[in-house]
This record gives sequence, C-alpha cells and structure tokens, in this order.
Amino acid sequence: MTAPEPIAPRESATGAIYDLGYRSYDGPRLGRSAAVVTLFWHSLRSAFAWGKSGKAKIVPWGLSAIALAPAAVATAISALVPPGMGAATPFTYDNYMSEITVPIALFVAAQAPELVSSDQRNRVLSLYFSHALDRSDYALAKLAAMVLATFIIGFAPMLVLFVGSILVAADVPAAFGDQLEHLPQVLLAPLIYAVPASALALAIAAWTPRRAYATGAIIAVFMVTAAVSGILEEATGGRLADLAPLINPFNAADGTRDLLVGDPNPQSSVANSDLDLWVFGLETLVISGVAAGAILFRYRRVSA
Amino acid sequence: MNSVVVGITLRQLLSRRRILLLFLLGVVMVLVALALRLGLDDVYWDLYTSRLLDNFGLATLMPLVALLFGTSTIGSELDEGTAVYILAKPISRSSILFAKLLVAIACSVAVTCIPMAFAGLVAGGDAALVIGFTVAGAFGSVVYCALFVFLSLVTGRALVIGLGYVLIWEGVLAGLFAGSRTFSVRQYSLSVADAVAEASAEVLEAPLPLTTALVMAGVVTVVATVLAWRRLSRVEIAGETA
Amino acid sequence: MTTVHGEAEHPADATATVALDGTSRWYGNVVAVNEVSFRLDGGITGLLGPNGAGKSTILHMIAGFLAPSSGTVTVGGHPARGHPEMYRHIGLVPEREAVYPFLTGLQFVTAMARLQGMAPAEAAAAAERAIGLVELTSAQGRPIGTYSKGMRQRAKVAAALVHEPRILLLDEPFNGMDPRQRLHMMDLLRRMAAEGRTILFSSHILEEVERIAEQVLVIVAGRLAASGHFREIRRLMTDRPHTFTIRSSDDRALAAGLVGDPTIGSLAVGDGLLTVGTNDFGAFSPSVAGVARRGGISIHELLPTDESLESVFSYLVRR
Repeated sequence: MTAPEPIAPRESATGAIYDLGYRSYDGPRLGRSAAVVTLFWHSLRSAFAWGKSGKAKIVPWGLSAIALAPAAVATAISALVPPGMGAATPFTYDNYMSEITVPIALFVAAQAPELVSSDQRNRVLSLYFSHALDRSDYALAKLAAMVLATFIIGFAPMLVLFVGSILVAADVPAAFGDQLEHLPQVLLAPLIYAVPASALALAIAAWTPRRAYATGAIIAVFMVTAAVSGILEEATGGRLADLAPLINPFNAADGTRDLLVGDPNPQSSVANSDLDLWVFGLETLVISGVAAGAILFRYRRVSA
Repeated sequence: MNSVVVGITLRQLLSRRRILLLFLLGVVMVLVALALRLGLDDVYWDLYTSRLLDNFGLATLMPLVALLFGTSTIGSELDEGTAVYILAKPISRSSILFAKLLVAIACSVAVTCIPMAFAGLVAGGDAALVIGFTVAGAFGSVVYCALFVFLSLVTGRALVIGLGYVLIWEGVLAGLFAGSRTFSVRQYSLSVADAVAEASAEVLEAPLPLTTALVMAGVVTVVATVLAWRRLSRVEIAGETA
Repeated sequence: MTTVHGEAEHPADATATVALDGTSRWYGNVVAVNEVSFRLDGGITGLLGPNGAGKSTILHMIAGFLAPSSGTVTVGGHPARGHPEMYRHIGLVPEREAVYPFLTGLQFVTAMARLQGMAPAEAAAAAERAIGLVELTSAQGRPIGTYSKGMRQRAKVAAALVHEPRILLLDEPFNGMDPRQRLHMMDLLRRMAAEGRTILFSSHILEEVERIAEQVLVIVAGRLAASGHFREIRRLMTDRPHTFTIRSSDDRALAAGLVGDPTIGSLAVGDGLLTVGTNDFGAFSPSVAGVARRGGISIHELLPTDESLESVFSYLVRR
C-alpha cells in the first residue's frame, strides 16, 4: 500500500519577518580615484559655502558679485545705450582680470582657510587619511578645488562680457564670429590668475589651523607685495624698475596672460618693464609650482 | 581691575610668532626705504618718502595691523570661549571695553608708527614729513581700532569684512567716487599727515579738508565705541551643547 | 512654580536664590528651553538631561549670558542680565575647555580673584586657598596649556570659588576627571552646599547626579520633566508599575498566593527570585506580608528594582 500523499498546502496569505539589524556593505567599493573626486567636489562646494548657513555664504557670494558687477554693468550699459553712440566701457577682455585682483585676492584669502585650516582645526585629517585617500591626494584635490573655485570667480564676468557683446549686437551671428577670437582669453585668463593665487593662498593656509591667522597672512602677502612692487617700480629706474613688478604675483599673472592670450595693457606694470613676457610666464609657473610643493610637503609632514 | 584685563589681553595679542612676523613686516618696509634712498637722487627723497609712507604705511601696514589687533582683542576671546572669564565679573562693561580697546590701540600704534618713522628717516624724507605721517599713522590706528573692535562684536567674520572695507571701499571705490572719501579712515589719516607735514603739493596733497577729516574721524570713533559698548553689555554667549 | 528647598543649615539668604519663572528661549524656530520654572534656595541641585536638552542654555541664562525669550530669570531677586555687580555672588564653571594657556594655574586663579575686586595680596592668598581646595597645588606653577583635561577642569573650579560666591553654576563639571578627582570634587561641593550656598550643576551622567544631588531638575527637550528628590519623583510615577524582587523560603508558594491578590500587576518566577510588579505601592507591602504569613513562608529579601535615577530618567525621557 502506498503512503498517503501529503496534503497540498492551501493557498494562504504570506508573511515574513525582515532582518533590520546591521548589514555589512557587499557592494562594489569605489577606489582611490572616486575618493579623490568626492573630496574635490566637496571642497569646491565648501569654497562657495554650499550646504552651509546663509551667513557663511555672504563672503564668497558677495565677492563673486563684486567681481561680476563691472561686467554686468558694462553689458547693461551697452545694451541700453543705442549702438553707434559708442559707449566705451573701461572694462575689456584685456584688463578685466587685472581689475578684479582685489576680489580674487579676498576670495582666496577668505576661502582657502575654510578648505584647509578647518580640517586641521577640527582634527579630522586622521579620518581622511585612514581611507583610500593618500596624503598627496588630499592636498592635490584641495588645490584643484580651490583653483576651480577661483577660476569660476574670474570666468563668470568674462563670460558675461562675451555673451553680452554678442547679444547686444545688432547682427548676432556676425557678432558671434567677431567675438570668437576672444574665446581663448575668456577661457584661459581666469585660469592664469586662479592657479598662482589659489596655490599661494592654500600654501599659507595649510600651515595653520586658525582661519583668522591664515586669512590675515594671505592678504598681508598680497598687499605688501603690491605695495612694495608699486613703489619700487615707480621710484627707481633701470634694472631695479624692470625687476620690481616681479615682486607682485598678480603682475606675473598679467604678464603670463599677455604672453599667451591677450594684448598687453599699455599702462600696466608689465608693459613698463623691459622684461620679456616669458619671464612673467616662468614666474607664474615657479610660484605655482613652489606653492604646490609647499602644500604637498606640509601634508606629508602634518600629524593627523 | 582694569590692569588685569590689560595684562591678559597683552599676553594674548603678542605671541612670539606674531611679534616675529610683524617685525618682519617692519623690516621689509625699512629695506624698501633703503632701496629708495640708495636708488634716488636726494631731490626725490621727499616725494618717495611720501609715497612709501602713504602706500606702504597708511594703506597697507596701518590697516593690516589695526585689523589684526582690533578684531582679536575681544573677538578671539569670544571665539575661543575665554570671554566668560572676563565678563562674569563685577566690572562695568565700559571698563572692560576700554581696557581691550586701549591694548589694541597701543599695540597698533607701536607696530605701525615705529617702522613708519624709521623707514621715513631711512628714506631720507624731511623731518616734518616723517612726523606728519607718523602722527597720521597713530591717528588712523585709533579710528581703525574702534571700528574693528565694534565689528568684531557684531560678526564672527570681522576680519574678512574689515578687509573688504579697507581693500574695496577705501582702496577701489574711494578712487572712483570722490564722495566716498568722506567715509574713509585712510583719507582722514592722509589729511592729518598733510596738515602736520606742511609739504608741497606734489609731495603730499590730501583731497579731504582737515576739518572734515577730524570731525568725521571723531564721529566714527565715538559712534563705534558707544555701539561696541552697547553690544558688549548685551553680548550673548551660549554653551557648547545645550 | 515648583519650589526646591535645600537642606541649608543657614536660613535661605536672599542673594543665594535663583528663580526661573515661565522662562523660554528660542532660536528662530528651535525652542531650546520651554516654559521652565523653578526656584533654588541653597543646597545642591542637579540639572539632568540628555545632550541638547537645554541644560547649558539654562545655566547660561542664570549667568546672564543669554536673554530669555520670554519669562524671567532672577538671581537674588534681580534680573540675571545687565547687572555686572551680581557676579560678585556667582561662580561659573563653563563647559568649554578653553582657558588662557599662557597663564599658570596660580596666575589664572589669582587674576580671577583680582577681577572679582580683591586686592593683590588678598587675591594671591585666596587663590592659593582655592587651588588647595581642588588639589592643584603641585601643578600651580605650570602653564595651563600643559595641563591635562582634569587639571584644567579643576583650575576652572578653583577660579569659580576663589571669591567664595553664594551661587555656583557648573556646566558638566566632572568632564575629564578621573574617579578619584570626581569623588574629591563631590566632597568639596557637598561642603560648600552645607555652608548655605546654592549649587546648580548640569550633567548627563546619572551616577554623578545620584551621588550628590539632593534635588534634581530633569530637562527633556527643553521642558522641565520633573523636579525634586528622585525617589519622590519615582513615587509620583503612578502610571508605571513599581517592580520588586523577592527572595523567600518558597518562591512558588508565595507566587501562587500572590497571583490572586488584586494589588499585584505582574508576576515572574525566576531563578531563585520572584519579580513582582504593582501599581499600588501603598497596599503592596501589607499584601505580601499577609500572603507570606498565611503560607508560613519567610521572606529573605524584598528590593525595589527600579528606584534608581536611571530608571526614573529613562522613563521621563521616553514619555
């Protein structure tokens, strides 16, 4: 006799109990490059106080507005004034970056400490270095973020000038063609200023966890170099007057820009100096390189 | 009572590293003065002493030093959390403010005027000119300190905002809009320098009339000090956690 | 308004009174302190609550460093804010770690004494005395920057008591102290309270509060959840059964007898232990005694299990 068949279970409502306890992560682990990129974006956001309180946004956004204002005003004027009345504004592609060195200097002086001094102050470096991130990766990611942030400060007004000139013209496509020759300057000039300014600022800020000291020191360097080079250039003659502009890193940026993308501004310190433009280009490279090296050195040595 | 606050504040403001860096700044100024002296004919000494003491002295050194001492005399204590030790005492808020302000002013004046006087003499300028700028440096330091102490009681970012005022308002805008000179401490100092130095117009000419400068400087100093006193009396200090 | 009286030997001194009346403090939409009222007249009171509950805010309001958004905060009858003279009677130990690192312990405490209005010689003597009280004498000549966390705390306490204030406000005073230092500090506070002072200290560590606080103020999410002696608070918590553990000569028989008793809410027979819950604390003990006698059972031990501050506290926090 065969065994009775087991009774087939009825179709019944199903129930389940879910395990809400701790789960370990089994998914893919993005490596070092993902960590660097994340730190880069996070630092870029910090530079503009993104994700922080409204009060924290005042300084970076205020300075961005100040850097942008002359371009906006110039574009507005040329839009409102009928063409043919030739309202020449004092702001052109060639001198704009030189005109906004103050907001740029203030921006890097205010925000570079936010990027690097805060981490030291809050003692979170050990958290960073215990992950896939290398010490040099950290330093370079911060540098890249600061450069991009400063680039944006300079690029926005240049872009406004560019787009503005096209849109206010009577013949837009033709204007586009005309303005196209300035595109390299619009793209490169802000970068030429952003790199040395950011590198210098970060190099100074990386040495102290106190943001106020860092800001003061950075601005002091910019102000004193400007004052000294200005005086020496004006007062002395010959070789000294030629070399004096080299003291100010923003003059070096001016010269580099003249060398690569723009037309020299006849009244600038660079033009008055008899030095060849490539000297200024070299200086910018040297400043940026030495500063970057100082940042890397600092982060190699700092105790986390 | 006051003297205790003065003592603590002095030690707080003058750390070894700070003294070294400020000394370095003074040395740079004197070196530039030396370069001018050696590189120029004596006909030009007055002119370039004036330029040096104006652009480096009044426009760079004086505001930077005043910012440093002015914003940190009370600001750093509020930031760090040590302010409670001074404020939770049966001392009038005005005597606390006075002590702090005095220390900031004394340090600023010393660190600004000594290098300026030295550099001015090294650069070969006429005595009255050097004295004029030195007095102007002291004058401007007082006004700046009052302003920056008040600022440090109002915001945590007093340093950056003070810098914005010095570089953008006094630096850029005052060059563009003549009216804004009435609200520029640098211009007040320049007018004082001009009055004391009795130099010729090419050497030193202050655009703002002396009376306006003195009145405005007085108003700014008094108003800033009174407002700072009010803020200090009503200051709020929270604990770290609740 | 709840009144919390300390066991002061001296009559309550008007200047030692701290009173909050309907006090609230908000920051925009966030209410940090919500209609808190209490009155302290001497003795040690513990301000207890989870982190973020509002304890620091209350202490800083009493110290005159925060204005109440509504209600009043008075010290010795005067408003806490705007009267620097009142600091003569107040000693504050703030929570923030920072102290002047360049001053030695002795210099710091002496400076605080001088700021309190003492003449230099008097201040130096008082400072030495205060430093002796906190057992910091061996390190008094070293800069505070070299101190450990516990030493810094003790320096702060010395600075707060150097002028023998009537009111002591301490924000997390035992942070960073090792057990021996804590015991010593507790002794010190008990002595000061016995002299008639009003001591208010905040903590989120229950053992500390339990040990020295005569009264507690329990702050939860900005509100005063309970005040008074914690055992009394426990008695008032009637909507929560008291639990006791009983050891007897015959647990099962006792359990069988108790199960029919209406005063018993819950019963659990454990390993040599009977756990009993009751809502009616008053009627419970006679019930148990009666059941035991009728059954001829001897009771070896009857203990309340949840009269600790911890259970009171967790109850209050979870409400």
